[in-house]
Amino acid sequence: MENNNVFSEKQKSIALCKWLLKKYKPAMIAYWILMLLAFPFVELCAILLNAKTNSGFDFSAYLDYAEVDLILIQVSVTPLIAFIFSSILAILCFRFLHNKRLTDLFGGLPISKKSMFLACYFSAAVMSIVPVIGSGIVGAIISFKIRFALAILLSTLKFSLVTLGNVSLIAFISICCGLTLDTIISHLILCIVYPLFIFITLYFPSTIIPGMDMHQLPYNLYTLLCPLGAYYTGSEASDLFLDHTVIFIIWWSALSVILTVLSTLLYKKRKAEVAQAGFAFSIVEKIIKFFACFTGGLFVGYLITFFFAVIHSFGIRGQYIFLGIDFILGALLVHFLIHLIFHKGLEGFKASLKECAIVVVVGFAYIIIAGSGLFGYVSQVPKADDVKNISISEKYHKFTVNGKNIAEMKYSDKESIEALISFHQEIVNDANSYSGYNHYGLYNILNPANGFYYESTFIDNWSFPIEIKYKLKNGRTIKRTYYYTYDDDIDTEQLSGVLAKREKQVLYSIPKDNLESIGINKGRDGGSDDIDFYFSYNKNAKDKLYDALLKDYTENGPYDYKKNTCVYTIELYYSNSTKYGEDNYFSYKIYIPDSFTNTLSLIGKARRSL
Amino acid sequence: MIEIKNLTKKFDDTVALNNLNCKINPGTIMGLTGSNGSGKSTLLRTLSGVYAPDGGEILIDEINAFDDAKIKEQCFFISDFPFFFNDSTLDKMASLYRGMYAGWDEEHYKELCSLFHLDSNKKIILMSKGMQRQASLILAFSTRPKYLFLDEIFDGLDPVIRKTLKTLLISEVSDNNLTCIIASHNLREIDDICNNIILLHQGNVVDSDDTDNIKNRIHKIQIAFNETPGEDIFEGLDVQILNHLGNYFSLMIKGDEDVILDKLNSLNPAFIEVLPATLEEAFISEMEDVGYGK
Repeated sequence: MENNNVFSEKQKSIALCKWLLKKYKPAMIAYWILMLLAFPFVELCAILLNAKTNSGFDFSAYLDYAEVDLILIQVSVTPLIAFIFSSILAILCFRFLHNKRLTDLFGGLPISKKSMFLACYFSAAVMSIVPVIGSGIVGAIISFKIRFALAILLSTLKFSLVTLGNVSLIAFISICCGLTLDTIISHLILCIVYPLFIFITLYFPSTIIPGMDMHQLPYNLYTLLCPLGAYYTGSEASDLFLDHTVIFIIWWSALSVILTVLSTLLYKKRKAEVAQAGFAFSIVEKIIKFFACFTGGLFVGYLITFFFAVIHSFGIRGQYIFLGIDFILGALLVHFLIHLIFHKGLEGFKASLKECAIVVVVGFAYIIIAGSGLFGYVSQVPKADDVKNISISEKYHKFTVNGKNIAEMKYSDKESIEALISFHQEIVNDANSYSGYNHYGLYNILNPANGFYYESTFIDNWSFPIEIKYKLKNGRTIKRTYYYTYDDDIDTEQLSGVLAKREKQVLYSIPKDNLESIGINKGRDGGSDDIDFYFSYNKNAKDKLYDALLKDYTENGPYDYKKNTCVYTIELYYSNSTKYGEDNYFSYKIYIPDSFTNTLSLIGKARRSL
Repeated sequence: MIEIKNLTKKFDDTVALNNLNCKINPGTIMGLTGSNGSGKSTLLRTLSGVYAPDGGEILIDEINAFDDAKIKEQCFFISDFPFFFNDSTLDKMASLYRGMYAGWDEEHYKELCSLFHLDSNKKIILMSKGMQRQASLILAFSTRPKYLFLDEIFDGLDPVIRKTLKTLLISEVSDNNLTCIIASHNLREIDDICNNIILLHQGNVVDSDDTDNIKNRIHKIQIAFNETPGEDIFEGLDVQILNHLGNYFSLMIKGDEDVILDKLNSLNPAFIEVLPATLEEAFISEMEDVGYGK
């Protein structure tokens, strides 16, 4: 009897998916339970505990500021659970690639290779993502507020995309590897080495090149190929992680699509006989070796150079020679270790050394480019005519009033732009001319220009580090961060107009209610006056003094060191709370000249009354 | 029909199948045998679509079989060590095949389960090797394949089950025109059931013919003389094996039977008898011809 009936590819794919879903149902159930416990259940407990009062529950008081709490609960353990289970389920679904007998079973099935792969991929994806979405939806529903629900759902969307990305990455690695063990090792090494690679690649130039700041770059850069880290850098937990939501969503969606397409194409070419052998395709091994050898080379090079500098100091030329030699040693060592892990021996090690050679060449090029100032990055100061606006701020300092960050000063008038450009140019000139910082066109590694975080006041109310940001007329943005000056003789007079504008903005933008306390010093930055406690703890006196100060300022203008004598220095301490319930502080010094009669009168009266 | 044309398969530098050419007609039970490492399992895996050929092609019903899901639905492959998941039962594996093979016959599946006396809810990995083979056979026959590829299927089966298997195969061939290729070192079973044989050695076909024809190429002859004959008495005959005790000789001679008997009778033996050569003896003779085992 000849059987002419056949199922369509779609029917077979669906049948295979259903079979896999049924097969791994116990793992799915465990996954669901853990996800629901880790987020919606803990969330509910947190809400009930915090809303509990002596007379019952008051949800409104807690829920006014609970958003960060709820997101933090979601982002704490659920990503780890999602990462572990999605990895396990993906590895199980693609296990047939790594076992000869299982390859016989699946290879003999009457389904095309493309459909087979996509059915396994789809099964792994569904099993991995559905519990993430489910726990997110339940968590959103019980959050009681639309705003919170939306934030939770956005986090859930991101988690789902990262989970899908993790499954896609494992699928791709599985196809390239011949053993399940190699797949697991490759995946873990990539998740660890890639962030380290980005960190060290950015750390080196950011410490030696004046103006460069690795913290300017989004944290998501560190986790582009690290799903475990991406859960956390992509979370909605405040602005701390410099979240770039749209780019994040696009990246993880595109990565999944690209890896899936690549995997499908590679699987069609993959030979079944590589199961339980070495690598089917060497691309994963090569990528891992590149990241690991580069990172290891730079890390070892850096470490040994610093270590030997303690024993024997050498010039800049010597630093780079040392760094280069130690880079080679570090890269070779890591290459050797990775080769041992993947090949369980030294077979093919000699032939693989050319890959290490490529890393060394790239590494040397990188060191020279970074060490020489990144093609003029240090000296780049825009022309005033090209600038649309410029802002200068104390880094990490944010004080928002009515939606505006007072700690950041933004200028679009020509005079201010020219003044700040001159100021910036002076910093750059100092950095380039400072002896010992630039030799043979290479910057000092051991005594780096960006050194360590150094906070000091160098222009009255400004402390380092400062960030200068240019928005150019052509739409480009240029940012520089300086951690300290290289020469204390910065010409501040050119900034007098800018500083005056800043002072006005502080005094007239910040509401009086935000004024927490007042400090009074004798003369210009002299010792503290006992009188300041009187104004700090007496609200009425404080408000009166502030009103007098504003009146005097409006009538007389700012203190001019050429014309006025400074009688007192008043330090104003402001505070406000963010929408997340955190307190923010801002302080500003004002010099009180003898022309500020109202202010001086109040201070005099207060002194006499004590 | 299965046509194998210039089929080559390599594993790194090793040529497992070297330019193979063969035709297998429908309704044939083909025995596939050969020396160790001759490429039997490789051939079966290539036929069933597990391996991709490195050269040449396999046509099943005039269609290139590799990665063709429709053709693969007519085929079923049981490997020498069939894989079962730790939690697999017959019913669970049946549910996989039910979704893959449109020709799945549920009634036949149940009949086979009771014929082989296997519990369909028991975990297969807890069964003995022979019972696991039986489980594979149940699943295979339930898909009602047109082409069945079996690798060392007799290994682990008791004589009763072997008989059952042979009966099943023969009835499938006669009722449904099943084409079966069995790779095995068990030449007695192959001799018993296969009507054609392919002999492989180092990836090449040494011989491919009807079973009886292969056996008939070599003859086992017992001959005795009244007087001690000279050393060159059998000159002119293609003697493969020669054993003697006094004037009694036991010979394995290749060639045409009539020609051989004429020659031997001309020596005036006191006694001569032709015994049927077994397939094993024919196999050894063929292998020694190509330099294997000498």
